[in-house]
Amino acid sequence: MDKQNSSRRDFIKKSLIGAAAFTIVPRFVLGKGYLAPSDHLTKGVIGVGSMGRGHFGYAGTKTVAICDVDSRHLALAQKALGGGVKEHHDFRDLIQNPEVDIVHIATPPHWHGLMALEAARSGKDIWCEKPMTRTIGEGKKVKEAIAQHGNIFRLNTWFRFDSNFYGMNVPVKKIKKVVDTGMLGWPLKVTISKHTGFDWKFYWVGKENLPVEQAPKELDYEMWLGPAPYKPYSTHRVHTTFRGYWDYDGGGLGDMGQHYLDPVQYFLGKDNESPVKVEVDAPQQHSDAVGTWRKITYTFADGCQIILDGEGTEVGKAYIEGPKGKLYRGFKSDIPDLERKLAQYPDPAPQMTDFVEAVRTRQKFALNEENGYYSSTLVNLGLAALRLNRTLHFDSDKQEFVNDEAANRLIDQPMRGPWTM
Amino acid sequence: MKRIFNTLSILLLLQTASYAQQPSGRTTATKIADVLAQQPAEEQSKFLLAMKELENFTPEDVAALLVTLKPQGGPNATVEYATNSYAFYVMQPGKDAAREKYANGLLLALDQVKDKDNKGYVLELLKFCAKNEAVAKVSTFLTDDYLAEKAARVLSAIDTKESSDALNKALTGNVTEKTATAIIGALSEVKNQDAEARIIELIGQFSSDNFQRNAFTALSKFGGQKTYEVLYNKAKSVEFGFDRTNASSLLIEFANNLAKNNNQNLATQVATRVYKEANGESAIGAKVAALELLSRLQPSKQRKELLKISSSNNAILRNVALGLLGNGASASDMKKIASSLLKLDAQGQESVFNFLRTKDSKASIAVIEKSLPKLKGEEAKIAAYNTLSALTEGANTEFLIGQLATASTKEADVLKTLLLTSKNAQTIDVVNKVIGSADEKTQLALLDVLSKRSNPNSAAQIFSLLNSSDSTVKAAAYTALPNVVNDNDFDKIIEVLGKGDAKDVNAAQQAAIVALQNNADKANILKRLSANISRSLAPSSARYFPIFAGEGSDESLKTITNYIGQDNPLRADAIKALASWSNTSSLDALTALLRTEKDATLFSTVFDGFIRQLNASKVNNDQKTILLKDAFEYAQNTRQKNTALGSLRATGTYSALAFASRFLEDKDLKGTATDVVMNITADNKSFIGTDVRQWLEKAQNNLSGSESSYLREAIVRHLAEMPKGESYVSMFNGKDLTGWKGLVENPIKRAQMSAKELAAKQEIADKKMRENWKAEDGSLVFSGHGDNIATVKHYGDFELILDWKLDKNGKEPDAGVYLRGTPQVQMWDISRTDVGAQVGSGGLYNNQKHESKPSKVADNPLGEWNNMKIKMVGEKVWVWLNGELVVDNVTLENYWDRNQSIFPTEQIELQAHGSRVWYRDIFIKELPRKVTYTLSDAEKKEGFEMLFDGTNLDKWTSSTAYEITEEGVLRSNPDAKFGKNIYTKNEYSDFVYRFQFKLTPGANNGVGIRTPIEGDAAYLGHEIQILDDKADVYKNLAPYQYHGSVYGIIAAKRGALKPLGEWNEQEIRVQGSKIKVTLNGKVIVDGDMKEATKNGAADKKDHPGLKRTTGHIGFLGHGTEVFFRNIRVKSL
Repeated sequence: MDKQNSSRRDFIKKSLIGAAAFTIVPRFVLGKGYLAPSDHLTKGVIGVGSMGRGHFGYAGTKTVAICDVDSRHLALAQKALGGGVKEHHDFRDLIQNPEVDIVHIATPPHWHGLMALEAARSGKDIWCEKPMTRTIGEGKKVKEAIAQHGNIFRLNTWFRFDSNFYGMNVPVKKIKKVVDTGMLGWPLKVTISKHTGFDWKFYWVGKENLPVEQAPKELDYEMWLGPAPYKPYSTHRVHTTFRGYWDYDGGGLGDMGQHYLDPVQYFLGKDNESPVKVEVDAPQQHSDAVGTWRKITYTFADGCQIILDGEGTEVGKAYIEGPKGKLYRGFKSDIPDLERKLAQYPDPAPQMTDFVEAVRTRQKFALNEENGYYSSTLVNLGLAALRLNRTLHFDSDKQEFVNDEAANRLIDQPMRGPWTM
Repeated sequence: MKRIFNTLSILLLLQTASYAQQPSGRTTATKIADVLAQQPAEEQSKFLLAMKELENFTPEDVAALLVTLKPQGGPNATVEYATNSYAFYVMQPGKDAAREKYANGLLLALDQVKDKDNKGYVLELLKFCAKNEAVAKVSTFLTDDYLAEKAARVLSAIDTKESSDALNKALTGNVTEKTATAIIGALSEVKNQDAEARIIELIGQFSSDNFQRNAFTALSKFGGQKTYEVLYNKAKSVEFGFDRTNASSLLIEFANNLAKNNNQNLATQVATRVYKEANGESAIGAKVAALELLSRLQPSKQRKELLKISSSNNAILRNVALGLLGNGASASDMKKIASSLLKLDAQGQESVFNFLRTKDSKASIAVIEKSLPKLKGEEAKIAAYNTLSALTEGANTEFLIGQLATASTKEADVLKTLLLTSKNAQTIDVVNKVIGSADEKTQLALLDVLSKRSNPNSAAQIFSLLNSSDSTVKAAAYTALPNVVNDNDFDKIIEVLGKGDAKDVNAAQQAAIVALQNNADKANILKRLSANISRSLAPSSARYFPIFAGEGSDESLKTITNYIGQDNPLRADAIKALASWSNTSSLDALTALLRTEKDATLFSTVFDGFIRQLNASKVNNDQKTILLKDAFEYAQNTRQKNTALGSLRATGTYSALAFASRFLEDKDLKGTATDVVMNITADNKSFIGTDVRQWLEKAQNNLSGSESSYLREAIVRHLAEMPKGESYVSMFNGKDLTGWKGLVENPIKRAQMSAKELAAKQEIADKKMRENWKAEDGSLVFSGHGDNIATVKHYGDFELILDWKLDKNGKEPDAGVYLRGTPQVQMWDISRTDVGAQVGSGGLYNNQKHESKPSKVADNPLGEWNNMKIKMVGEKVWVWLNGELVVDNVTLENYWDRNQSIFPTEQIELQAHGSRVWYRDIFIKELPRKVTYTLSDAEKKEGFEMLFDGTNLDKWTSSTAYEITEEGVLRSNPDAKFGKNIYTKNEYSDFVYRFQFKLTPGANNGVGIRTPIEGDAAYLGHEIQILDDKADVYKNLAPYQYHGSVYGIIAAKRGALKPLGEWNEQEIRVQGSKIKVTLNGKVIVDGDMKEATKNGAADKKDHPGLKRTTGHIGFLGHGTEVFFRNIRVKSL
C-alpha cells in the first residue's frame, strides 16, 4: 500500500469512529411511544403525492398519520392505506402528533431542511427523501440539529448498501472492496455516464415563461411554496414537475444525483470530505427554470475525480480508472483474475441497513445525516456551478466557497418569512 | 495545471480584444438587441462574450432592458437569462465596478418597472448582487405587503450594518403582520440584537402562532437579556413541551446562543432552571437538552453525576449520560462503567458495549471477556462480540470461532461477518487450521466464511471436507469450492465432477472454470479434456460442457459445436452451453441456430443467448440491426419480440429507427417501440424530416405515467430544435410501387428520345415492370424475369440504405444497384467462383480502369438479409456492406460511354437478373452539391472580378470566424471566439459590389466599405447593415439601423428582404459620396453621404470614416450565423 492510501485508510477509520457517536434522546424509551422490538414503530408521512405514497410500504413500520397541502393527495393516500389514518394539513401538527415515532419527509426538496429541523427538535426520528436539502447551508443546520438532539436519520437512497449499482451488476460493497484493496491505485477517476446507467433523468428541466394560472382549490399553494420566493401559480411549477425549478429542486441532478453520487462518495472514502473544485460544461441557465447540462467534474484534494457525463457519448469508457487498473460496466476489469485476488481481502465494514433496528438500538443508519450531508453537498455544489456557469473552488474544512461571494450567497439562501432555520 | 490556466487567460484576453471591435457608440436598443440575440449561450465562451457585452451597459441601459419585461407568463426568457447570469457574473472578484453599475441599474429599474411581479424579479436579482448602495432604495419596499418579503431578503443577503439597521428601522415604523414577519425573518438572519425590544413589543400585537414562532426564533438567535423572561414564560406555559410557536426548543436554542456569546452565567441559569422544571412526559426533550448544555458549561461538576447515572437501569438517563460522557471519559471511567455491566438489564448491557466500542476502551477487554458468559440475551452478546473485535482490531479469530458452536443463528451471522471483515492478516489461516477438526456446526459456519473469503491454503481443507459424512457439511464444501480452488487443483476437480452428485455438479463446474481461467497450462488441459470426452456420447459427458462454455476459447467452441448435429443425443446440452458462453465467440453458432431451431424450448434458450451475446459483441451497428430484425422475424412470442425490438435501441441506426416506428401502434410492442424511437432520435440529431417528426409525435402520445411529462417535453424540445428539411426519406412504402417505374433503354438513348417517344416507351416498360416486381410482405420482390426497376426521381449526390436478399435456391443468384442509371454495385452468391463471386458483394462490377472488386467479403449467408449503404458524391462511390466499408472513394465509370464521366444526375435502378431478389427498408438522403460560381458574360465584359466563387478565400484576409461550408457557401460562424470580421486583401475606392446572402433568425452582420483592417469599421469606414430586422429583438431599432442602411447615416427602405432562409441578391454601388443599395432588384438606398451628414449623422455620432476615400471591403460579424455566396466586385 502506498503512503497516500494508508493515510486515507486512517482517515476512514477515524471518520467511522465519529460516525458511530452515541445518542442523547432515545425515542423508543420515551415512555408512551415505547414498543417491543417485534412491534411496529409508527410513522407519519409528510407529502403524499406519488413519491410519498411509496413510503407507506417500507417494512417494519405502520403509517398512522399523513400530511399534505393538496387534499387530493390526502384522499388518494387515505384510499391506498385503506382509510382511518389521521390527516394533517400542517406538517408541524404531524410532527407533534404523539402517535408518530418516525417522520417521513417526501415533499419537494425546498421543504426538507425545515421539516427535518422541526422533527429533530421534536425528538422524532427521520426518514427523508433525497436530496437531503436544497442548499448546503440547510444541510449544515439539519446535521447540527440532529447531532444536538440525537435523532436517527436516514436518507432515502440505498445504492451504497442495497441493490446492484447502475450498470455495474454488483452491489457497491463489492466495488468498495476493490477500491479498498488498492489494486486500482490512487487517485481514482469515476465517470458516471449514460453508459453506466446515468440516463435521461438528468435532463429533467423546467419551462421558461410559465403561463400564470389559478391554483386549484384543493391545493394550499401558499403553504406549498412555504420558504420559497412567491411566484404566481402554474401547473408545471408543482407536483412531479417541480424538479425543473431552482426554487424547489435542481432538475435531474437535484432529483436523481444523490442516487449516483452517494455510492461513489462511499467507495472513494469521501464520507467526511467535499471536493475542492467543481467544473461545469453547460449552457447558460435561466433564473427560474433548470436547464440541461453536458458535464460536471468534481475534484478532491487528493486528486480523485467524479465526472458526471450527462451526454455519455464515450461508450466503453471505464467506470473507475486508477493508475494501476480499471473497472468497467458489468464489473469487468483489466486486472487479471480479479475475483480470486479479491477473495483474499477482508470485506468492507458492515453497514447498519435496517432502519427499524437502527431506530430501536439508537445506532446510526448506513446513510445518515453525516455522510448524507456530504453527498447532498456534492449535488448542491454541482447545482451552484451550473447556476453560475463557471468553475467553483470549495474549502472542504470550512464548507464554503473560496473567495467567492456569488457562490457563497447560494450556500445560505434566505427564506420567506415566517420560515427560517 | 498552471499551463492550462495560462492558456485560458490568453484566451480570455483575446476575447476581450475581439470584443473591442464592437461598435462603441451603439444605442441602448442595439446594445439590448445584441445581448438578447445571444441568450441563452450554449457554450461558456459565448456566455462570457455576452457578459462582456453587458459590462458596457450603463445603469440606464440596464433599466431599459428590464423595462422590456412583460407581465409574468410573457416572453421574458431572454431578458431573464441575461440579467440573472449577469447578477452572478458581477460578483466575481475584481468586478466590483461592474457590480456597482449593475446594482444601480437594477435600482433604477425598480422605479421604472411597473408590474409588481417584475419588480419582485428585480429584487431577486439584487439579492444576488447588491451591497450597501441598494439599502436605501430597497428599504422603501419594506412597507409593501407584496414586496416586503423580497426586499427583506435582499437586505439580509447584503448582511452589513447598514442593511441591518435599515431592517431595524423599518420594524420600528408602521408594520403589518405580513411586513413584520418578513422583516423579523431577515433580522434573524443578520442577527441584529437592537431589534429585541421592538420584537417583544410586536409579540403582544400579533398573536398568531406563525408570527410568534418567527419572533421567538429571531429572539433566540440574538441572545439578548430581555428575551429570557419572554421565552421562559411561553415555554413554561406549554410545560416545556412542543407547541406551534416552538418556544421550548427555542428557549434551549437561546441558552445555547448565550453560551456561544460568552454569557455563560445566564446560559447556566436558563439550563439549570429548565433541567429542574421540565419534568412532564412531553418535556423530556427539553430536560435532556438542558442537561446536555449544563454538562458542556460545567464539565467537571457534571461528570460525577453522569458517571453515576451511566450505570442506571433507567434507559433514558443512562443513554444520555453515556452520550454526554463521550469524549470526556477517561480510561478509568470506562473500566468503572464496564465493571458495572452485570448490574444492568439486557438493553443496558448493549448500550454500554456500544459505548465502549466507540470509545476504543482497550482497558476493558478483560472485563468484557469475563462477563461474557453471564450476559443477558442475544443482543447484549452481539454487542459484546462487536466491541471485542473492534477493541482487539480483529486479533481474536480463535475466540470468535470458539463461540460458533453455541451461537444462535443471529449471533453466528455476526461472528461470520466479523471474520469476513477482520483486517487481521492471520484470520483466514486460523480458519484453515481449525476447520478440519471443528464440530459440524462450526464447520458449516466456517465453510460459509471460506466461500466468501479464503487464501491459497484453503483449498486443501475444502477438498477433504467434500468427503464429510455429514451431508450438509459436504454440500457447503461444494458451495465453497469455486471460491478457493487453485490452478493446480484442476485434475482434482475433474475427478470430483465425475463422481459428484447431480446437485453438486454446478459448483464443481464453476470451480473447474476458475481453475482454468488463468491457468498457464490451459491449452493442454483443454485439449486433454476434450479428447477424454470426445469419444463418448454418454450423458455424463455433458457435465463437462459448462467448463468449455466458461473457458470460452476457440478450442472449446470447436469441442462443443461437435455436439450440435441434429441427431446428437447431447445436442440440447451443447446448445445450452453455447447460449451461456462466457464471451461472444459462440455468436455465429447461435445465429445459425436462431435460423434453424424448431423446438420451442431450445429456441428460447438460443434466442436469449443470441440476444445477450449480440448486445455484448463488437459486431457493427448495421449488422446488429440486420441480425436483430432477423431475430424479430424468428421470435415466437411477444416477450422475444420485445427483446429484439428493444435491443435495436443501442444500434442507433436509421434502419432500426424506421423498423421500430412500425410498432408504435402495436398494442404489445408500442412501449418498447416508443423507447427505441425516442432514444435513437435523441442520440442522432442528424435524423430529421417528416417521417421522424411523425414518429416522435406518435411516441409522445404513447407516453404515460407520472414522470412522463419530462419525456414529453424532451420530445417537444427536440422537435422544436429539429432543423427544417429532410435527411433519409423512404423510397419504398412496403405496400405498392409508388415512386418506381420500368426501365427504358439507357440514359444516353433516353436523352436522345423525344418526350413523346419516351413517354410511349415508358408506358410499355411500366407495364412490363409490374409483371415482375411486386410489393410483398413489406418487401420489394423481383420474380427472376424481366428488366430493372427504376426510381421516378433522378438523384445527384446521395446516401442510399437498403436491405437485400438473394434466393438461396435460385439459379445463379445475382443482383445489383445501378447508380445514376449506370451499372452497378454488385450483389451475388459468393460461392459462384466460376464468375469470380468469391470476392464478395458490394464492388463496382463494371469498372475497368478503377477498382471493381470490394476490399473484403462481408456478405451474410446466401438467403439471409444483407444491409448496404451506398454513398455517391460527384463520380466517387463508397459502399458499406453489413457495416463494413468495402468500396472506399472509388470512381464509378460510365458503362454506357466509356469516354465520358458518369452522368451528374440520373435515376437509381435495382437490377434484374435471373433469380428472385428481395429488397426492403430502402431510404435515401440527398446530399447538397457544392456549386462553383462564375461571372456572367455581361459581368466579364464589364470587368467584374470574382472575390468568392465557393472554393477558396484567397482574396480575403484570414479569419477563423468565417468558413466555407460543404455546399461551397461562406458562413459566419456564431461560435467563433474572435476575429469576427473578414476583409478583402485589396483596397477599393469607387466600386460596384454584388453578393448573395441568406439570413438566420436574429442574424446581424454588415458590409464594411472603405474601411481599415483595424478598428471599428462602422465608424472608421462605413457599414452597410445586414440584419434580420424583423426579429423580435430588433423591434426598437432606429430606421438608420434597418437592413441595407448606411449605418447611422442613411436609412434604408424596408420590405425588400426575402423570407428568412431564402437567398437575397444585393448590389452596393459607391461613387464619391454617393451610395446606392439595390436589394432583390429594389433600390433601398440612394443617397449622398456627405449631404446626409452635413448637419451631423443621424445617430449623432462622429463618423471619421466619411473622410476616407478608399479601403477594404469586409463582412462585419456579430456572433450570428449568416451565409454569403457569389461575391463579385468591379472598380469604377
